[in-house]
Amino acid sequence: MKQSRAVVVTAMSLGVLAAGWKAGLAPAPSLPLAESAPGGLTSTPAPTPSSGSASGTTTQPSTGTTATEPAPPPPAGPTGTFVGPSVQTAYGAMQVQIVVSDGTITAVQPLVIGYGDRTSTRINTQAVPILEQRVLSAQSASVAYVSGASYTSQGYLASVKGAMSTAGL
Amino acid sequence: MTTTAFFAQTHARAGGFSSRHARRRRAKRLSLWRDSLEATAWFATVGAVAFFLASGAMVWTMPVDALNALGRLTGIVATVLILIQVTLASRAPWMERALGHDKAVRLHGSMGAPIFFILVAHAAFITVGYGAPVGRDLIAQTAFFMGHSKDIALAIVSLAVLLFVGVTSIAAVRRRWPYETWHAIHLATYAAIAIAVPHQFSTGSTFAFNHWAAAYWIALYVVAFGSMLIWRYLVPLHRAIRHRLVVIDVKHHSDGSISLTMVGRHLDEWFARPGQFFLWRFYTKDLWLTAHPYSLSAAPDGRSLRITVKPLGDDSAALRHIRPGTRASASGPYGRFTHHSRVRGGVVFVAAGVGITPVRAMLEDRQASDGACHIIVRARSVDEAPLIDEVSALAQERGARFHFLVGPRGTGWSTLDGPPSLESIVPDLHDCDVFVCGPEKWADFVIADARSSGIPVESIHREEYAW
Repeated sequence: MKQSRAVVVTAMSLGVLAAGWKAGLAPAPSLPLAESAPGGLTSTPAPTPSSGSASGTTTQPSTGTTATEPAPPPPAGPTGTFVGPSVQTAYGAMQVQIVVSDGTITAVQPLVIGYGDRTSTRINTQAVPILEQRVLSAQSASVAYVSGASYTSQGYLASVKGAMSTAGL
Repeated sequence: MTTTAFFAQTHARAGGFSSRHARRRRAKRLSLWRDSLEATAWFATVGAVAFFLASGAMVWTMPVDALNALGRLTGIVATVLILIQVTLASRAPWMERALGHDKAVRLHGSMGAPIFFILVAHAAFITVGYGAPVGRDLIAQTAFFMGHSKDIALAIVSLAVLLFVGVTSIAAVRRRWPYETWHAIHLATYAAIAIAVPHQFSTGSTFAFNHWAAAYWIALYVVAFGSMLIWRYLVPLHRAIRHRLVVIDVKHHSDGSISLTMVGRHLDEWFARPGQFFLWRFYTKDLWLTAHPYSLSAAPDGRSLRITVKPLGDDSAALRHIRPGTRASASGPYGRFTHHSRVRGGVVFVAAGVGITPVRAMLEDRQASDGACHIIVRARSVDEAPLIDEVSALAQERGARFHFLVGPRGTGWSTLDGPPSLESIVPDLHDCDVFVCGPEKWADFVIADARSSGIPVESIHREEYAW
């Protein structure tokens, strides 16, 4: 290649790489995490999961415990918010709570989802809504992992499973 | 003859200003095109790496993140290189015009080994990076991948296939097998590339979560495999159906060479420059599997195509089975061995053996009389030189100087007691393009001679048959 052209190509390449680098360092969009068990009666406050490694936005979550029916009419199935166990994975702890209405899971809310680093957060922001969708439509924790997020899937679903057994589902 | 016509002619004979000017402009355009393609290859790589960086790959929280980043980077770079390699083998005219067929094929071949090692590094870094935090060793983690991710399992199989293709492409192994066998194995590369695609989109953090990155990645595949599909498969297929080539004449020359003339429909639509070659396939029992590169030995006239071959080695018997009526197909034309590539005023053709064929075709072109023209033919004896009568007649017609060097081999490219160098034959060599066609070792001598006379690389043109 002619020297003058090579200089231009090199300069443009460095520019593109610098832009990519800068985009990679930008703060990651944070994962919206739920407050632990709103309205539910949390009994045994368990140790906080993997203290320190959890992302700073998390509130003190309580582990593996119950919630009781808040309303007077006696329902056919369990109703309430149930917190799942904190499950340690290679990329941090995963913990969720499930909202159950009359034996049906109506929401899965993330409490702690791995480390807050950019790559993990990027993966998890994609994976968590998909996992919630799968759990809600299957009403089960035995659903397919999200590809590209096998650690998150594993931890998340294990926590859902724990919460479900607490709820007696 | 009017004065203007007379001047026009003398100008043409001396390699007039206008044709020199046009040549210089053409050379400049070609250099710009070639550099643009090279720049495109760089940008394709840089773009992919930029998306990798933008995915936050360089933000590390654990030591293994460095391994994972390195693993992802090597995977991305290897894939871009593979796509460049596929493009180089696609025979796309927009690429061959700049590089020449031989250079494209050589570049394609030389990229294989480096790519393979980068891919092995990719697999190793990723496996260690994923296995180490949970205490799995290389084998345990590979087993975990095989069991837990279909896409990664496919990628592992792909790597194994590439390993096999790589080993069979090592020169020593390749020589032991017939070309057809080797080529069939080589085609397994397509399958290997295809089954490695899913894991790039499903588990590749660069492309799985960024639509722009995914679109970019798909675009690279489309360009590489699109070119391959069009120029290597669809165009030749279309040519075969449209032109339906048939051998009409088989002429045995006294030196042992054979001229084959092919006719077909609508041949005036198939543009080729004198000096170019085609990859020919003749549908006889022994020849239909392999395409052979042969130069046109006559300028194409829109009705027929002629090649001249000297049966040597394996194919000698097979070539004798070609009769008038034998069906044929061809892909091409290829090569930059044409008047179009000239950058100087005059031209010197140096040929030996069957290498005379493209020179013979180029002499038919009127451009051969544009500027000084020398033809140097080297042969051991007069009876061994193919097409020598035709060449000397054409030389006379074009007003070209014909030098026939006959005799035993000397220390260089010339004969034992012949002129020692190109410069001693052609006094104004520095103002000429040198076209060399003949056996490889012999051609090396000619080029070394031309280089030592100070002829720049850009005005030395060599035909190498590669496919």
